[in-house]
Amino acid sequence: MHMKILVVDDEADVQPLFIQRFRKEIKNGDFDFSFALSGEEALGYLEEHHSEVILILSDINMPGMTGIELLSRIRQSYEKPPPVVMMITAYGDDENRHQAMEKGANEFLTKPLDFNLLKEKLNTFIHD
Amino acid sequence: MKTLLLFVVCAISSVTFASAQTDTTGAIHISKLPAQGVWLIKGWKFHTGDDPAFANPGYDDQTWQAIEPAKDITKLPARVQRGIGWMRIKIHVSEQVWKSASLRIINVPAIEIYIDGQLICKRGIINTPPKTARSYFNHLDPIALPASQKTDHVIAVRYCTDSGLTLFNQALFPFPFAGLQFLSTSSFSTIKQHFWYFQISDIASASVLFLLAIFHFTLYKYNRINKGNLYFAAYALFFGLYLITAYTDNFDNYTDVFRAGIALGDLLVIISLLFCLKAILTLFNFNPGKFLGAFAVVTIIVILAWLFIDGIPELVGYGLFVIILVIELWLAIKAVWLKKRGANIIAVGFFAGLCCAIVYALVNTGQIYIPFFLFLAAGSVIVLGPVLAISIYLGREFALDGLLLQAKLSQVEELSAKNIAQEQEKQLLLEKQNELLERQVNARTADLNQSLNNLKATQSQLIQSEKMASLGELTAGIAHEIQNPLNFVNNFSEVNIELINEMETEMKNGDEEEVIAILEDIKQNLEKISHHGKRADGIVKGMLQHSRASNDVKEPTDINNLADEYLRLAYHGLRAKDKTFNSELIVNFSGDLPLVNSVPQDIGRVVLNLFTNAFYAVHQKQKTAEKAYQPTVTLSTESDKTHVIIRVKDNGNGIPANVKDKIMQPFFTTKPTGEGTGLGLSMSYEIVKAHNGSIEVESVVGEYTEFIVKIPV
Repeated sequence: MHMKILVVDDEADVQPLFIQRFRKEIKNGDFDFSFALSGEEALGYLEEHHSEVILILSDINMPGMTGIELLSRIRQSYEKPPPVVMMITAYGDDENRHQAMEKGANEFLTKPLDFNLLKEKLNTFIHD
Repeated sequence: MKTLLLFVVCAISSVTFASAQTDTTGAIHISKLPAQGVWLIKGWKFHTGDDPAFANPGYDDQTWQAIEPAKDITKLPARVQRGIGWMRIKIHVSEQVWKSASLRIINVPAIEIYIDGQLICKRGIINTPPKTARSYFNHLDPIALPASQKTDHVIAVRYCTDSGLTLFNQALFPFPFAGLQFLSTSSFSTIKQHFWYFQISDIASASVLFLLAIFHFTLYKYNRINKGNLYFAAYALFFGLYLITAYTDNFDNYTDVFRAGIALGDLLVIISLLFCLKAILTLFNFNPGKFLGAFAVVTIIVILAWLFIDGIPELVGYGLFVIILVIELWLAIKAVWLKKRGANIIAVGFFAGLCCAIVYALVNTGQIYIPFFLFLAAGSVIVLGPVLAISIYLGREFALDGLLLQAKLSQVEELSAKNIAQEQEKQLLLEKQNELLERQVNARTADLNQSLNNLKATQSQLIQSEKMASLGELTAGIAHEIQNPLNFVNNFSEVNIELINEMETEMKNGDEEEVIAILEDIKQNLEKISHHGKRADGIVKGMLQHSRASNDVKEPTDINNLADEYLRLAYHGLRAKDKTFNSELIVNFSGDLPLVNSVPQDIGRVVLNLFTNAFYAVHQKQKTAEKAYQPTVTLSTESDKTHVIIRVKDNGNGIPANVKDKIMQPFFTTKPTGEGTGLGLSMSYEIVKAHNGSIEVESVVGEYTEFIVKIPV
């Protein structure tokens, strides 16, 4: 099953990291990663590739549009089918988590990312 | 005055009248001669017309009318007063009396006296028409009686009224029309002597007055402030002139000249008294205003009228004299009452004059008798008493003024001596105070230096506090910043372990191509690990540098890197503290920015401060602004030939103009108490200044604030 995932993070090195981490899955064609360096860029990407992207991984702390805002925008703009949105943050406090879940996040992950856990979650969502 | 005096002297007393008696034939019997002589009062007959026969003793004058020619002219029938006429008297004089006696005549008209038909005396010119007649007056030269054995005699008087005499008020000259007196030779010489003494006295008084006039005029001349001297001099002068007129009267002159002298004397004496009045008013500072002038004019007019208009009673003029004298006396008493200095002297002078005048009058009217020289002295006192009193007063004033001046002078000398002493004392005190002041200044300066040192210490403590405070702001950001690279280091390390495992497998499989690809990845990852490791290292170093005291070592610095690093630190610091905060960061770095020779941690502090402020500003605005508001902080760098320019702009609320000037001042902050030290911008300002750079602010309230930092290359 081909699954398009959009990763939103202002750290450019997140891209090679994900590609390395998911190299087997990418090779197998399970996942297809796209990257955006900001919320704005992510929205722009979604504008064009809305139907393809079924899962979005977004950092919360970003200059400009935050991950939470991005989440709100996505929930407002794309109701059908609603993409899965997972929020990632370095600040894993309850308030952050609560806010993210309230805005409609499917998952809330804290940095440093446990990629094995992430893989499990991704697989769960895919199979659902 | 003089007329009065003369009149009194010449007055015919009842005492003298009692000594003459008439017999059956109408002849006047004179058997003895008292010291005051015998006046021929009654027994006279008169007839108008002129006939030499009337002198004849045998002429029958039965039809003639009786007359008392010793009365003054106004009391005689009007017929007598016109033209030429004759009077006759029969007398019976004892031989002894006839031998020792002489005849004295006081006359108004020009007269010729015939005894027993023989002309023995002529006074004036008897002429027809009568207008050319002129009377002559001489009552002091005795007329010798012709030798005769007889005891019965006839005295005939031919007279002619002098029309020239009507020029003056007749009432002023109440002399006998034709007064004849038998007087012993010795009495005559006594009277003459007395009159001579009067004249001497008058001259002496006049001399005194003239001297005083000159003296006081001189005083006035050299000290015009005291006008009293001038008025007094005038008073003395006019009074002296009056006395001189008395001298020129001479009692032996044409009657009209004699009368003119008397009239002039009266005028002079009234002027003199007016000056006396003015002098007294001036001396005692009484100010009657224009009243005095008016009074003087009225007085002069009245006196002139009194002198020249027939019929005005003599009392009017004398009353005026008395009024002026009373006023003067009253002023003197008033001055005494008011306790004016020296008023007593003048009062005494006037009082003495008054007393003497009373005595004089009493003597003259026969009420009392005093020796002649006392009488004469009294007359002099009347004249000189007030004059000398005023003169003494003025002299005393002059002397007292002199004394006062001397006292003042010595006071001034004393004062100036005291002044000099005080000045010296002051000088001494001043010097002491200066010394004290200098000591105090030194002490204070030492204190100030101590304070300054304390302040410097406090300042450096504050600076350190500010650094630590900003470090606190950064901690969360730093943690975040370190967390990210560490995550990468960990992740890439883990990936590499996986890759190495994979590579092992592939090597066993002999897939060389795959092995090379994996190796390439591993190499890339290691570079990433190294990069992020260094990144974390750099952050930690930067943090350490930030908190360390500046070592002031300048080094070539990449402003882009420095600014970027601190921008992130600031941003994440704020984010860590307040989750609701967010801001768009726009970075416009100039690609060819030259390195700047600077102390990196100092410049770092400056930009950190600017970022913190910018974020604070947009965050504040975010709290109140509408949702569409997008907080934006823009960092841009550029360079001209001489400077690197860092711009930090936010779209916050801006800075009001009244605050703009203060923001660089130490401890100025708009943040709530406890949130800001108020040292951030002031420190930044100091740092930039130390780099010979500048900080400028541009702001539009409600729109933006832009800080422009220029640092020379």
